[in-house]
Order: sequence, then C-alpha cells, then structure tokens
Amino acid sequence: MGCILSIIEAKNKEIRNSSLEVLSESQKIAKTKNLENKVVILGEYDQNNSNQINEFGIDVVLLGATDKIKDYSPDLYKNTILGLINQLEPEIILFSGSAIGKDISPRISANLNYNLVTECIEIKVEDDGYKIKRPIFAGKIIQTLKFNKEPIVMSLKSNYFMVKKVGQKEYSTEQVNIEEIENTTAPMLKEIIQPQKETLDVSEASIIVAGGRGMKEPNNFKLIEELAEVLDAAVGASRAVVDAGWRPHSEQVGQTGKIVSPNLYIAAGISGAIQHQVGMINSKCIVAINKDKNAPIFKFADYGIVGDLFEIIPELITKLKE
Amino acid sequence: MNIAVCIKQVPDTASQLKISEDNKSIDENGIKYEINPFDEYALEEALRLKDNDSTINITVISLGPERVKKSLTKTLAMGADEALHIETDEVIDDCINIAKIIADEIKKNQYDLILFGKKSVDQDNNQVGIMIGELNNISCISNCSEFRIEGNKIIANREVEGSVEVFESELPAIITHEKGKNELRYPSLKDLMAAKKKPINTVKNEAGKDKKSELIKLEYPEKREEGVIIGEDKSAVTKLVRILREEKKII
Repeated sequence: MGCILSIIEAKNKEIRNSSLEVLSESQKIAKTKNLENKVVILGEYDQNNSNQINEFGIDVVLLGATDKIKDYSPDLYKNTILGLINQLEPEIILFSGSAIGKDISPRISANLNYNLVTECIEIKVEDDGYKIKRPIFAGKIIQTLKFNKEPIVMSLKSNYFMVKKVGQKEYSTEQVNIEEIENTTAPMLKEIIQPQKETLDVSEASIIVAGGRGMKEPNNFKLIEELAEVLDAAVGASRAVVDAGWRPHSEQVGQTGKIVSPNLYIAAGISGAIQHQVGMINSKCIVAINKDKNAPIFKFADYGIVGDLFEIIPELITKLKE
Repeated sequence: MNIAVCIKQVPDTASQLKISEDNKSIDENGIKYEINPFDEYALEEALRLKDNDSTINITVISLGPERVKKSLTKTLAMGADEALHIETDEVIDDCINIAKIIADEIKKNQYDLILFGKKSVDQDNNQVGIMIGELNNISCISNCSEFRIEGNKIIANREVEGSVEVFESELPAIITHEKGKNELRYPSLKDLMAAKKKPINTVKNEAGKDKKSELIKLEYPEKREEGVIIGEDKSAVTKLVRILREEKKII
C-alpha cells in the first residue's frame, strides 16, 4: 500500500492551524486514493496533546519533535524529511503554506526532482492524476493544472481549507531519528526577534482590522489598534500607509503584502484599489467604513457604512464593549 | 564582490487581466510589463551595496521572451553593470525546470551573492530562488526583509508569522527578498538613454524538455455578491454589531 506523507508543524507544543488544514486534506486524499495516511510532526510538540490530531484519520505518526528541531533549521528539516521520503516512498508529500512550508518544500522538491505545486486551493484526485486549482496574479485568476506523474509535492494555501475532523482513530507512533549535520554550509538560526508587544499576525488572524490613508496620520492608528484589541484581531494596513512609513510592512495586506482570508475583515479608510482588493477579497465577511460612498471597496464589501471613521470607530468600540 | 540579481518581468500589478479565448493564457494586448516588485526590492539592496563599494559588480539575469530586454535595460540604467537575457519564447510552467535553466547559467560565474524577489506576483510560486540554492548547493535564506554583510558572512532577517528569524550564513549565499525597508530608485531619462547603448548578453536555452504539468484552464474567481450599505453615520453601528454578533456569529 502506498502512502501520503504530510509535514506537520508544531509550535509552543501545539499543532499549528495551517497544519491542521493539511491534516484535513491529507486524510481526504488518502481515503480517495486508498493510501496510508502518514504524518511527520516537526517542531516543539507534546505527545500528550494527541487530542489535537486523533480525529484526522491518521495511520502513522512519525514523531520528529525533539529539542534539536524546536526552532526552524532548513538543514535539519530537509535531511529529516528527505530521509523519511527515501524510506517511505510516498506518492504525495503535503506541506502547509506557512513560512516554514514555503521555505522547505522547494528544497525537498529540488533535491528529488519532483514537481512542486504551491498555494493549492483545491486538489481533485482523478483516475489518471491530479487536478489542482491555485490562484495566480494574487487571485485575479484561478489556474487549473493537471499532473499525472508521481511522486508530487504540494503545499496548501493557508487559511483556505476548512479544518475538518472525521472522528477518533487509533494510530501508531514511531520516533524519527534526527541527526545533527556537521560542517554544513546551510544558514543557521541565530536569534528570533519577537515583536515588542505580543501581536497577532495578519496571516494567522481570524479577524483583521485594517486602516488606510483615510486614517489621515500615523497616530490615528491608535483607533485601529484599540478596535483590534477589543475584537482580538490583527492590525492590517494598505500599501499607501506602509509606503508612507506609518505602519510596518508585516501588516500590509495586498499583492505585495500578505494575502489573507479571515472570517472578518474590517477596512477603515481604505478605498479598495485592486492591489489591496486581491489581498483580502477571500475574507468570509468584509465590512467597509469609508466617507466616500463611491469608493471601490463598497462594491465588494458585505456591509458598508458611509461616514466619518473618526466617529464610527469609537462608537463601534463602545458598542462592542457593552 | 560579484552580485547576481535575478528578475522576472510581470504584468504591472494595477493591470486588469483578460483571459484569452483559448482559456489558457492572458491576453497580452494593453498589458504593461514591469519588473516584479519583489525583484526590484532585491535589486535595490544590491545597488545600495554598490553605492558604498564601487568595486562591486552587479549582473542582472532574466529568463523570458524578447520583451524582457526592456526591463534589463532599465536595471542597467539604475546602476547594474551587466545584463544577461536567457531567451525563451516558450512559456515554462514548471518551476523546477525554470530553476534548472537559471541554475546552469549562474554556475558559469562565481557570484558571492545571488538575490531574488521572494516570489513573482504573477504566478505566486515562491520556489525558484530556493530551488537554485539546492541545485547549486548554495546556502539560501528566503523571505528576507533586510540583510547585511560582515566579512565573509551574511546576516539576514527572515520574516515569519509574528516574528523575525535572524539567520547567518557564509558566502556565497542566495537571498530571496521581501518588500524591503528601502525606497526604490528610478532611473533618469538620461540614464535610460545611455543604458540603451549598453549591451545585453543573450543565451538561448533548451527549455521544457521534461514537462511535468499540463495547464487545463484559466478562469476568473467567483464574483462576490454586492453588499449592502447599512447606514450613513454612527447610528449604523448598532445594526452592524447586531449583524456580526447574531446573524453572522463571527464576533
């Protein structure tokens, strides 16, 4: 029986949400193709947390989570995953679209001369291969590709797939041997810089409150931050305010920033230029606050308030606190 | 020091794209091509290194059809020393094949630093620079927002979810660059005119021999339904909160 191998990331002893999305998809593919569903967990993970993963139809858990691999090391990850692929000969290797997934999947693919399809939003198993949909041009267009050669490496677009549990299932656990590599030329992690204030990242948040040029000046983003705090949301920004130096690039949503799809996206003082639109159009619910009733954002926002955001946002904060 | 910067020519991000009748390509009529924004940030980093050390030699490399030359000329006007056009009229879909072609060209020279944008904004693949690192056995740090060189080492800040990872590597190294902190420069008309006289080296490639994927179709995403304006002032807020809490149940 062939197998599918999913690369699962754990952080602070928890499986990351983007990896739970991978687990949901991998069990679906495994079932359709009658493959063994094997997963390797890398990072910082506590085995006692198995309730997080025991409902995804997993057959085998390969535990690669040790102190050695707690933080990301391209070399250690690469060698561990290549070793497993060599041993298990999976037909499909599935990654998440996380920062680690984006860095490691091309390394694996190039070493094995396998094809890599990134940012998949739909994977259809057919008799003679796979039909995969992925957004291009930041989602302005959807591309359908067909692959009929295996093995194939795929990575999923984050925040796109539903996390879907299929009921409890027993699985076997094997420890993976992680070998340190000597005399490596690979990049080594020296330090992790945490933000001064614990903040949610737009790429992982389920609610985003974003501000644009309509905020008028950088100081006024205090309002956005306050609203974000009340909603337990991440702060987002348009390209205009990032380019003006009001906000860091890590908050930029759009074609040259992050492409997000939270449950709720509140856009304040953002006109909705195409550059921004493609970054957030897949949000489940979009709320726009803008004083210009002709702003393009009202064409695709689910709910709009035409008015002065300096009156509306404080009112919103008050009402939400009630 | 020898630096290579790999750039891709892509439709301007403000373009309204139209799918051709074959449903497999973009209608090129009326499309303005520009240098991929992330590649421009990578190039800017190289130019800033050269601003401080004129002995640095920058080669800009681009794979693509004839029109790519215009972007290469622009980089020469911005301050790059040499331009290499890897000519192909074929559209190569598989990143691994693109990576192999560029990797072969890179191998022919001794570069200390090879810069890429983290991804191209047309195909959003996020693969080629990292793959070339593996193919040529060069250390690669991806998704960097800034880096500095100290002696034979490079120290780079890699942007990840919610934090920044500082990686260190020996040279030669590959960096794939995020949007940087530095403002981009624009060439003057005079520099552009002068650059037109500079040579662009051209090589042909044998692409697409090992085609791995087949493009079935392109389509537009589903349109969002037009929403509703729920009010014109702060009195709409109560209604909004009720919708989000009770109807949508998302807060």
